[in-house]
Amino acid sequence: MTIAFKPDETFRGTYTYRNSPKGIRRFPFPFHQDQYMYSVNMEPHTKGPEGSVFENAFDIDEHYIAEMRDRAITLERDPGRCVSLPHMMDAEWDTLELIMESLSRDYPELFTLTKDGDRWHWVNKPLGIDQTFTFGNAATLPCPPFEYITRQTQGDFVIMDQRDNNLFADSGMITSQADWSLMFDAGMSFMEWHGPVPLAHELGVFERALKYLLMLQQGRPVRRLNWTMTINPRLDTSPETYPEWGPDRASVTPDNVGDKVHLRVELQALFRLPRSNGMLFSIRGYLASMNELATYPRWAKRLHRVLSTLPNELAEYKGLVRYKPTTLEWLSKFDDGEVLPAGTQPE
Amino acid sequence: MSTPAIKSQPIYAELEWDRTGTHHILFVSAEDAALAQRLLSNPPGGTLTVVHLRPADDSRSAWSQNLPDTALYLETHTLAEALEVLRDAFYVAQMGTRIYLAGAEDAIWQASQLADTFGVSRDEIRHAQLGTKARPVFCVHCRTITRGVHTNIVSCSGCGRSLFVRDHFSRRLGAYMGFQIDAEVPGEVPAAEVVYP
Amino acid sequence: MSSASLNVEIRRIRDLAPGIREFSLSRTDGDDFPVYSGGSHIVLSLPLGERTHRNPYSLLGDPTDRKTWRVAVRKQEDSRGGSRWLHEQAREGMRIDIAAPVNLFALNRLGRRHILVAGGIGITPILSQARELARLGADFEVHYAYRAPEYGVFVDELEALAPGRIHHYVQSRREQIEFSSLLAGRPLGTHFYICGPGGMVAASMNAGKALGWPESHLHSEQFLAPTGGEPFDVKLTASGKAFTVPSDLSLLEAIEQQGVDAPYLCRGGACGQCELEVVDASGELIHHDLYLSAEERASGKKIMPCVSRLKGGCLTLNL
Repeated sequence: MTIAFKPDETFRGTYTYRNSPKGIRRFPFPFHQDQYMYSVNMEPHTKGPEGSVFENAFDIDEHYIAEMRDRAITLERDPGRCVSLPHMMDAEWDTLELIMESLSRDYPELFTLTKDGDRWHWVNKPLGIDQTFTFGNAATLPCPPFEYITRQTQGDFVIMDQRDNNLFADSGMITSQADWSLMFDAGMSFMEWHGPVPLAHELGVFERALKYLLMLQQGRPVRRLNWTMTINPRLDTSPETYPEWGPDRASVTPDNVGDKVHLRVELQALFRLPRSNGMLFSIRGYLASMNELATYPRWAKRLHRVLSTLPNELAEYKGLVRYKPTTLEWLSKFDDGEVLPAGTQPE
Repeated sequence: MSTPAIKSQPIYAELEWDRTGTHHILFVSAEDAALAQRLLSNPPGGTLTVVHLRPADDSRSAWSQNLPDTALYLETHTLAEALEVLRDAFYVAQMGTRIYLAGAEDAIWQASQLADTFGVSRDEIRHAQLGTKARPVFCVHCRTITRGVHTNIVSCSGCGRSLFVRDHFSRRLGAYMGFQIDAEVPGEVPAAEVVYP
Repeated sequence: MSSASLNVEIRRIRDLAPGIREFSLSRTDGDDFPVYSGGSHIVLSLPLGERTHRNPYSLLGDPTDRKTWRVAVRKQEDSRGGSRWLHEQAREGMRIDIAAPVNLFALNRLGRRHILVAGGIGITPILSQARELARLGADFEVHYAYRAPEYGVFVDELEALAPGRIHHYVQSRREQIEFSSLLAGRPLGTHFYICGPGGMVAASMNAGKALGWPESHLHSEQFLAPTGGEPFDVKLTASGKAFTVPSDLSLLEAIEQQGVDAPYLCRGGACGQCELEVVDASGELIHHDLYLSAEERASGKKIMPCVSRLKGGCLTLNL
């Protein structure tokens, strides 16, 4: 498989990000039914169909180079988007090892890893990186191992430390988040970290998820999808920069809905880390504009129904309140009331 | 005690001695005569160290009276001084120690951060909010902590933005989260209300 | 199989002490093993005649050694077959399946000092923990109690890891660990880890609690060998099976023998993974696990089939 990268697209300012038809086709549309509610929707993160976002442990797509540049810009402006507490160094190396081994196995034409004992040689062709280093010796890399490898991997990352029958968000690389602050949340327990999420606590979702995750095994990762909406194809929708992107929410009009409003889906995967007994949480985001989604009318119909029945607490938490009516109005043009079969597949 | 809407918000139970402990360190930074009377009249077994942060006047404090004979009482007059004394107490403390931090959230969570550096776990430490309900507020934009916030909206002491004070709380930072309330429509700032008296 | 499995060859068998053997394992597919964290265990699938017997053993080698994994096994006199097979039947060159490592006895990485205690064969997880702490440059000490000098297995490896920080207690010399003095006067942030016989673990936990240690700093690992018991009948509602659990099989093993895929991890009553919902029980549930709370036991709605049984009558499970 060859990926036609779009190295020049932008996620700020000119917002030239677009999905190719192939990119839309593989978009992980998350709604199986006409209504949405939280659940412990976890399944084994095993190899999915060829070409799908589930094919590999860490998905690399046409936006790779552009997303990594956007991450570098965000880190340049604010190095605090990458945080790692001092007891996490083993988990950092675990993460580097897991990602380098996965990428070089799954995309051999893009990434290669050769090992001579602890002497490792890493080549990242799309980003033009050629690095020899000593595994376990952070001084042989240009920056700490977790930051090093997550500057080269699409998606946000959190590493959780497991102790006291709990998971603590003790490391993170977060530059494309759905409005949560790593600097603020670093060090929190599982429940504290998910504290602001409405309704799900009452449903017992986090309690069950935590119990399940504490027993997660090596070599048996799991995944789930989550979603929100974003105005403009912007990755950095952090609380830190809320004053920069907040006004966009008030900019949606019936004429620009199709271009401006994006469904943002997170493919979340969890991996037990071997030497630290920690857990890597990858949050791989996908953005598709309403126009792009509506190239498959079934998705437009489904999204129309999900949004119109979404509980207010969720709409508020996800920050949709200001532009939901305009978006619903736009989507209603596609919804002829046809009964849709369960499932997420497009036409 | 109502359940907070956001699970990171601390719940402060009525302060009690944890009698499974064999040494006890109590830090108090606010007056509560009834609580002092209740706790000190029925002290726990083992050693007791009281680190008291009190204003430097000669008013009488319930925390310095009725102390058990065996208690070690250490009086301090500034938070910085209290934290130094606590650091010494933690340094010589043994496993089996229970730590009690009582007072305004700003003071008790700074003391709690100090305990964290000694590897103290959550089941060894108790927090109680006494006196003012004022909050320390962390600005997510400029990362300054504005202390002693009584209102739901406050001007950040670092960047001047009007911050909405959320119930989301970080133990690591010892502060609540504040973010610009008029980010979506600049200038649309509701009147602040005193909600943390 | 409920767990990611690897096929390994028994490369080397060493007799370490009377009744204690060490097994060195390597992968048959030639790949490297993953690394693991100190305190991890694996489950060995042992071919006992017609049935497969699965026993958990702690990994004791260097957690970063990708070529060889090592376990040590003490022959249990009341064994239902697992340890006896390893002592009497296992030969170098034999191949067996094992499950990927799981750690129910992990170090706390925020700890400022670590006290490790081993009783007898309980040295195995302590050894991998000690290696991890040594690699991290952490402050730790090991207290190792064994029956007689010849039973002090791995003392050379331990001494090499942490010279001067290994303390020996030899029972035949009337030496024993006084937990109330071992645990007294320790600085804040100290963590205690013990693996050994049940009585020893209980004594240390009691001493710790009496000194005021909180639960979060007291770590122990105990694997319960599933004990046999009286036969009883089982009905599985979802899979529609009905059968009898014989006296020499655990409930979990009997379920597996029926070809029903039941979840499990530790097979020693510790992890909670194999929990099953009890639909009906005509008879008394005999709980042997370390996982269910007193309330959960009293509810009569849950059972850990790896170690627990029914006394008399019939057990109906949602599986």
